[in-house]
Amino acid sequence: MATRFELVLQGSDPIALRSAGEEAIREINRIGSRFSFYDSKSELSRVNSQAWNRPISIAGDLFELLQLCSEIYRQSNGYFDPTIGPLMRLWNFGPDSNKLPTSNEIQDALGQTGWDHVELNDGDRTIRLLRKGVLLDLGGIAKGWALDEAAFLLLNAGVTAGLLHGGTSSIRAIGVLPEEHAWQIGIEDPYTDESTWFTSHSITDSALSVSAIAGKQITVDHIEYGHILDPKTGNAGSGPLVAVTSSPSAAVADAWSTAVLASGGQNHECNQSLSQLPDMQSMLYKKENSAWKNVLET
Amino acid sequence: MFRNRLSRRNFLKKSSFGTLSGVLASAERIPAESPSILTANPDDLMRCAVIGFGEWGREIAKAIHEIEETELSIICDLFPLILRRAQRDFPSTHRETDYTVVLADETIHAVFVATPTHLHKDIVIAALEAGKHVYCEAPIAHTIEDARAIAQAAKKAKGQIFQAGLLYRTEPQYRSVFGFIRSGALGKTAMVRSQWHYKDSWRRTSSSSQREQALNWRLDESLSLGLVGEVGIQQIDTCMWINGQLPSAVSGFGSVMYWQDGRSVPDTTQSLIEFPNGENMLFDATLVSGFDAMYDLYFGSDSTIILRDNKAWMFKEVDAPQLGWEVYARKDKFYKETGIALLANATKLDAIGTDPTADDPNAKAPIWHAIKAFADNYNYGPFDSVVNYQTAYEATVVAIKANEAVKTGSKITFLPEWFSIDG
Repeated sequence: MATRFELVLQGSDPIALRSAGEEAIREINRIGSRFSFYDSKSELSRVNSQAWNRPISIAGDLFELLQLCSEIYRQSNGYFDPTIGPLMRLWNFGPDSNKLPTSNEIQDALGQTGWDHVELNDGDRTIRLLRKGVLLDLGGIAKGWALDEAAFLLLNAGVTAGLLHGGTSSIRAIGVLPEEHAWQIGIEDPYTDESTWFTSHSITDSALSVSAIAGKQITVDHIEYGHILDPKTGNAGSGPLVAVTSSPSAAVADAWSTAVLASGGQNHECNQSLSQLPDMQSMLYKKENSAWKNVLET
Repeated sequence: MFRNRLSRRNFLKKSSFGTLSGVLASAERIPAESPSILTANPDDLMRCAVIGFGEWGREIAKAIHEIEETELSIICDLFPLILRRAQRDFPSTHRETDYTVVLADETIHAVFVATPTHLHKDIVIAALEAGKHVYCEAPIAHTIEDARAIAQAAKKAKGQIFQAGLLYRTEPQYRSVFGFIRSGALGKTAMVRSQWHYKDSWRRTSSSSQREQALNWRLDESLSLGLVGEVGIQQIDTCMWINGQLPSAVSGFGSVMYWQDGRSVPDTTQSLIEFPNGENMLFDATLVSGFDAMYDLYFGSDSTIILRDNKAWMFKEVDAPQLGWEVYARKDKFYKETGIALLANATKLDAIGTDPTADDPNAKAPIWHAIKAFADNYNYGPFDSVVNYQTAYEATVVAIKANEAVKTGSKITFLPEWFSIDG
């Protein structure tokens, strides 16, 4: 996942905590290599290269993850869309990229985008891609999924308090530290050089995900284009926006922070689904006149 | 158990030799990842059971699941949490806690043994006696007696496939380099240097103390073959294979340099494996530093070859003769050296329209190739296995003695009778 994961585990036996942490990191690495969009040997690449017009059998947990993707795609009215691979490839948010795609190129890529081109078969746990060129990219959910799996292992190893994060944008909490009520997560202002929080959120045995335009973007003519794309238009978001979502599941939080940012908080169906999801909190912060405020109405 | 089966395997055996030859010849030309026209009949699937669903058992199960000619039918493990993981990974696969039930299942053709090393013997022997084809992880045992018992049982089981998990003998890149070195590309071979570096405590934890004790067999001196035996066996076996000789002696050193948690199994080891032709191998392994991970270096008078991450590069000496193809080959920079990329199946990739100098989009993990070789043996064999009982036994003897040398800080000279499975 090309991201640094860190764990902070609290307990009285450092040797046991270390080995529990190692197992969690191994599981994160395992998921990272299996679900990588960029590694040609990954299971996801196998789907992308072999499942066009031909059902292929996939491992149970990958199928489970794709079912979750399907559910959130539907709930978010398509603003969380793992078939965004062709668009991501077109925009190329690499470090040396400084060119915008043309509208014709975007239209072509949009033709290969959409979960309607994906067929999951519960009976034999196969996947088929119904259109040539469709590429699944799980970048919007895999980090959270890996954190959920890691947390499960840590809990089974007897860990009662810890904080896990992937790239600081996906966070999963286990219990709380002694004499604390919750883990306090500060959200930094990405538009200042100083390390200051503009808001903070408390979590206990749950997850928090942050998506922002800033962080991974290309700049053309002094305009920043962030890596969260609108799957409906194929356009990259711009402007000082930060989406924050909280859920018991880090995978769910991850997917929804992407959807909230991609929709700009402007899609009625998406917002309505959010308001109906239990144990879910969502915010979309916008910086106006040097002040951040939540502009999401659910 | 095969009596009533009209499968591709039986069909081929009952067909004319001409038909068989034609099938084999075309199978050679079909890239491994392409669906074979020969696998259309579900009856042809090799039905597999994996016994031991730890980290490595999981990788084996994944490869079985991906290979079209194999079906993952049963996963067997003692621990509920592990079986829950199996249920999630492979929901339609049957789960079992008792391996004797697996062996009694007549629909199972092949058993993959991925338990801790010291538990292999009883399972492998029982599986062979039950008429199963057996894939056993390497090292095959933690004592010479157990290894010998396994090898003897495999030898006795005529018509059944026994393959050990010495992965690089079936890995295409290593096989390609094997041919390259054997053809003299190194010039006069001088020595081999291999390393395995991984930052990890090697300790496992569980909320159940019984489970935790079982999981930490690698840290139990009486059960573990240590770093050189448990992981080094792969690279040492590769050297034995490429060198074409059994080693004559092994010296070892080892200490607990970092993981001071009461263990006695060294976290850092160095071994010198001597060969009769003087082409000795230096192998070091550590759990203290992950720097530079794992690689093998084969040094010669004309060139040196490095193998890492299933890739290989050749570094030429200035006085080495120029090879006809090298001007066309991809070159990669390594600090002040330039390596010529050695690509397995370059001709085949070129023929099917894939750029041979790019990363192979259909590249598979070494375990996939090992299991594919096993499945091919089931479908088109039996042939003498790529990693047969004799090879597996020899590599295990070297691993056991190499670990003994590390533990005692001494040099051990191999006696020829140690390599005899008849004792």
